[in-house]
Amino acid sequence: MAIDELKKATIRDFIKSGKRIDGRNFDEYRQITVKKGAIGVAEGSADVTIGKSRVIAGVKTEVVTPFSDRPNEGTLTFGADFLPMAHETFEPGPPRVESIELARVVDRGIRAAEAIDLKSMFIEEGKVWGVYVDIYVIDHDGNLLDTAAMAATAALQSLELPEYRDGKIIREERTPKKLLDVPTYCTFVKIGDKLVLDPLYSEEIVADARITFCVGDDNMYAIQKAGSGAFTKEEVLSMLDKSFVLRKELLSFITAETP
Amino acid sequence: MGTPSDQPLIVGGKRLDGRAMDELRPITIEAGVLNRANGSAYLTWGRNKVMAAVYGPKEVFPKHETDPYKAVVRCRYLMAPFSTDDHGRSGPNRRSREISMVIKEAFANVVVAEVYPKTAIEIYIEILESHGSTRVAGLTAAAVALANAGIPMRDILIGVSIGKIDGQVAVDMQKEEDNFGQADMPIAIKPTTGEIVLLQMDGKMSRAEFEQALDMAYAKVDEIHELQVAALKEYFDRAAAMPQDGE
Amino acid sequence: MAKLVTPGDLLLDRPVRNPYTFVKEEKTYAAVVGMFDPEQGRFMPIKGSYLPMVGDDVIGVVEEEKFIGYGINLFSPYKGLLASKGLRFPFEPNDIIITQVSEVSEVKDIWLSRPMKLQGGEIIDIAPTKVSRVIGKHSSMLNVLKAATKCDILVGKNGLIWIKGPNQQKAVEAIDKIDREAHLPGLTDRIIAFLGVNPEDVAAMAQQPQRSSYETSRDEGQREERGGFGGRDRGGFRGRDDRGPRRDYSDRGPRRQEAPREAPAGGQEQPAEQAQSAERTQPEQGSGQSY
Repeated sequence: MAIDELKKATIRDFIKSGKRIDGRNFDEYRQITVKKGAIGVAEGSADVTIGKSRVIAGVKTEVVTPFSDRPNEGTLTFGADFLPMAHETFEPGPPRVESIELARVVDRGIRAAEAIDLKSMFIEEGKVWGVYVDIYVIDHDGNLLDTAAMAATAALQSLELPEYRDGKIIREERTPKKLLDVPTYCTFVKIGDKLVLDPLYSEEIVADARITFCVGDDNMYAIQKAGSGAFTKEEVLSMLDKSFVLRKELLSFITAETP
Repeated sequence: MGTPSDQPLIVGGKRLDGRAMDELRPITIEAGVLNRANGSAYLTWGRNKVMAAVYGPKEVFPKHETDPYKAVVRCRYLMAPFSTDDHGRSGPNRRSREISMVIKEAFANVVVAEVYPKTAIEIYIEILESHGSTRVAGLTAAAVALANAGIPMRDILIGVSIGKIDGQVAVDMQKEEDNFGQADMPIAIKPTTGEIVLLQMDGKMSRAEFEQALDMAYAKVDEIHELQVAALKEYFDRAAAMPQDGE
Repeated sequence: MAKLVTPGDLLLDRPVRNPYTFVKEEKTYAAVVGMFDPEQGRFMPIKGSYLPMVGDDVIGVVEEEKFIGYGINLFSPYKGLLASKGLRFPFEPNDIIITQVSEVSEVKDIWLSRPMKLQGGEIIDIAPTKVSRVIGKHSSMLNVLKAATKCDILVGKNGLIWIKGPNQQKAVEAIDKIDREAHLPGLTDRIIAFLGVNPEDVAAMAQQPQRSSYETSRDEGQREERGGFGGRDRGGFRGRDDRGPRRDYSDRGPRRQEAPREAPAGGQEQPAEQAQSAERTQPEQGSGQSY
């Protein structure tokens, strides 16, 4: 049991009276930092923190056989690991369903946004670039989804494809590959009847439900509702609208050039 | 979404199977079809074939997952290896585990778990034939199986999918629409309150289209719910042998 | 006129709490599929697991011997525990016993007392929600069944029924019929016809308590054990005086004129009002559960 379990009643009281335990507004993010290129050997990487949550995403590219129904397109695969170091309740072992869900939701948003130009990943007949995005959750204080999604998009944003010559991958020679679109993700939880953006771990464990919206400039790309609570149609639309508004702030972190 | 196809999904204002944008595929539901399970339902939805079964309330295994104050709701959604065009592998995979989780969470909202503390309520959903929107078909069947098992619930959940095909919002995605359409949105709603207990979306949709999709889903709630209630009533009549005259 | 209701259907405009309904904004809704008679205020669920209540007689199977006693399988989500202290004879695994629920803890530990082994005969199971129909008002149905088939019949609130006698098959069929048709009108008449009982004899049969040798010996066994077992330590009755004929099992007919002890949680034939007042005397079950 994490010590946050003892704080549940306190959190509920705070939220009920319109406050948060860390003093934030209900629609405010914690401090966000994005460091791209953190892992030199990877073809793309980003080390992202939202508050005390931290996720490192690394992108590796391999030459692979394309899918039979998409012979001219590169492939894109997402994986997520919740490392035992991230939280006292994470045990080593087979992937938790939450980590599967996280990888799949990040995947869906980026894929639906057609963020990465897979058609330009064709090398020659029967050979395309396979892009592998691995999400490493190393510190958990809530809202791993937004943190991981930001890490994945920032890592892809910094993607540099290697060269492929005479049947060999030459990783030292790289060409930047910018994203066509940068989707942003916003996660809310519902505590009682209040909607709360970017939850802390201690807020997540008292929440009845959670919902994530992935949006672009004009369109929405993915939604994932989780938890056994329920939302009304009006609540869903209001959070969606908020996600469009927050996009600008989130984009600035992802697209900022690393000094 | 899937590979964009050259084939249009809407021809002459109608969809590939002749439906209107706001039309459901035919649905049949039969309750109490299995003998051993405490509750069960067999559902067809277009060409989908789903078997749902419920065991419980029963003892919890492993024991450390017991909740002393309420029942633990569990769900396993699985697609049979023969349910799709290509042979699939047996057993759970990442997709089925995620779907199992979101369905479980939907039911955890309506099951009155405090009535049976220290027990487990196990929901099994098997997709026997898959033809688009199987998770909402499975959820709709499981709701009937739970009621058939006498599990106390606040509502009988309905599930339905909405999507966008060839630029138009439509209800109930069948396989080609699911694969080649522009967006896909499974949703589960509580008929008595209108609250949303399952919501996922994947694809490209504007905010206006999303709202339109939500409205189309709500418009189908009663239609699906009535079929579920009819199935439970029919089971009731069938299970109690009607007395013969003179008996 | 009773009608079929499904989870979420409104039943009453006032709150009634029991395991088969839930209350929202002071109104009562069905939580399970069942037959609801709005005129009589009666709700009969067609299915439901057995929820133990103090005072219930239940039939179970001895499963394992533990340090403090025996684990008893009640074919319900909850297991029973029978303390070995004070028992006259030990039990073996797979013994079938009739026993009484003496205590139900907040976390549904079921303590049992006053066990008696059942030998021979056969056991059938019916839905726990139908048990009260098998017993009938003031045990009228049960008495008729026993008299017509000349069998010993012991009914457990958990849906298990033990039958022994010359016409076991007929009794089994009659009870199965009740299980299947409990919700249909005219049940009593159909059962009487099925049993081949002369309608004129029915009233007398219904009144006549049929006490089998088993029931008598359980009584006697109880009186002897009074010192060690009944009434003092956990188990036995609460608040009963030690004189006079005991109420051992499910209702024994008009010997006592108090309200039938059929607590509402087992088989909801009680009008909703009675359900509520009965709830208050049985604090373990249901009351105070807000849904």
